[in-house]
Amino acid sequence: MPKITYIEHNGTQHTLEVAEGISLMQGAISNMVPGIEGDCGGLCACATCHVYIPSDWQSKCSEAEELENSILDFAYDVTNNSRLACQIEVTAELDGLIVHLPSRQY
Amino acid sequence: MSFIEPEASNIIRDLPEALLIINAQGELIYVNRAVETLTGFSETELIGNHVSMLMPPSAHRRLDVLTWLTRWADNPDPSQLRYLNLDGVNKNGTERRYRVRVSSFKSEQSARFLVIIRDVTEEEEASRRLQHARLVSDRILAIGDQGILTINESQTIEYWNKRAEQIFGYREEEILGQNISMLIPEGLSTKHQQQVQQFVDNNIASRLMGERGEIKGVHKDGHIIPLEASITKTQIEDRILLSAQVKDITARKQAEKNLHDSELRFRALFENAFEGMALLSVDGLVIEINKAARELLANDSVFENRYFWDLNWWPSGTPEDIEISKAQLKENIVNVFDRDLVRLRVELSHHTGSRDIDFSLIPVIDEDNKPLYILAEGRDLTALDKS
Repeated sequence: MPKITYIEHNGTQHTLEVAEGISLMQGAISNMVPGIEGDCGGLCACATCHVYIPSDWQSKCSEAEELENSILDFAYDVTNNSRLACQIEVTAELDGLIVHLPSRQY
Repeated sequence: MSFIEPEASNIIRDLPEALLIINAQGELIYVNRAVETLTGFSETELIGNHVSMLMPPSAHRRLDVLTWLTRWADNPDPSQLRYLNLDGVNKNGTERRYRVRVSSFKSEQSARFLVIIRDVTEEEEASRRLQHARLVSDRILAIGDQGILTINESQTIEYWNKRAEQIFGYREEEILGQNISMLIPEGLSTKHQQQVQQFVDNNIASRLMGERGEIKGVHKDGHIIPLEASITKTQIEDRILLSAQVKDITARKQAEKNLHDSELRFRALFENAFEGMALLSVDGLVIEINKAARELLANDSVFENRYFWDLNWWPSGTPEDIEISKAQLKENIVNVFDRDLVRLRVELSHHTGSRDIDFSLIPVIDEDNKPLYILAEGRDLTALDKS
């Protein structure tokens, strides 16, 4: 199972084994990682699962669709590395991925 | 408000929802009374000003409010709007959170946005507080020393913590939605189902570990796990949820077995030794006495909890001799911790004749030099003497 490290804004690390096929958001929620809210439950509607994916991992993640980008416009402290965790499916390729979380989700 | 019929205009003015209309440049061209109440600004203070007066731009957000309104005005999917709350500010400068709904229409050939705002600050805070409290309790449950699981009335697993994962070998995503019978050994499944049903039907809210005996679970790899469980019932509306805390007692049972085996081995040594042996308390009461020692005490049937010197060691002696021997023995026992070791040769009268005994008293201390026991040993030298 791919190992993924979620790093909270305060630096606290959560290294977890996340099942392939579920989203990065579900992986964080089911492991109770603070800092990811996932209010809409993965509908790409709420921007409360905003995360930062390091540039060198971006190509291994599924590409962001237009809706995701448009939702991200309203997230807090968006950068070029910003993604919505509900839109990234965990695959074997993501083993070792480091996900940074923003200071707030709303 | 020439574009609204007079009567409709009154209705909109007194609508209990805060409603504002802005033009394509973002200027407020209409606000109803509820906007004044909500924001603290009067109509005259607002009209002609930019909507960012109510929802100011933020360095933390990529888009300003007008861009947002433009983008979402004609969104056919209302579910998208459900989650889009914006940062607002009222007249006294307090930050608020506004839930905004928007639609657009054309008036006098130019675009207008019809906007409804609701102050959801408290609602959002309450929901965050609940979410955070839930997160804290979830994290406590996750690291709990006991497996925690919840099943519903159809005995399907709905909650599963990390410890349960370790005990049974199933990950959360494998087990959620599965029937509890997956965790019960074959053959016990029907009985377990009946027990669960009984618990659902009776009036008892909880049943604690200890009130029930050991139960058995089955690991993903098939091995049987000895368990103890507490169970509690929660009715939420018309659903009944049963939550259990499960303790894996494999290690405890193994430790108990090891202790029992060790006890058997040491008892075999003690009981079968050729030498007579007795373990005494620090004040000389008999705690344990072995077979060889009991054989020297033909006139006694009770040994434990009697002073060692009060046992019938001298059945054929005169009362005066017995008193002297007893006093000597007692003196040796009560002072043994000052003497390290007492060793003497004594003669005991026995129904088979006089016995020549190599007798010793050994003080036993713990690692802090605290007296624990006295070991009394007697080696019968009679046969040796004769040879």
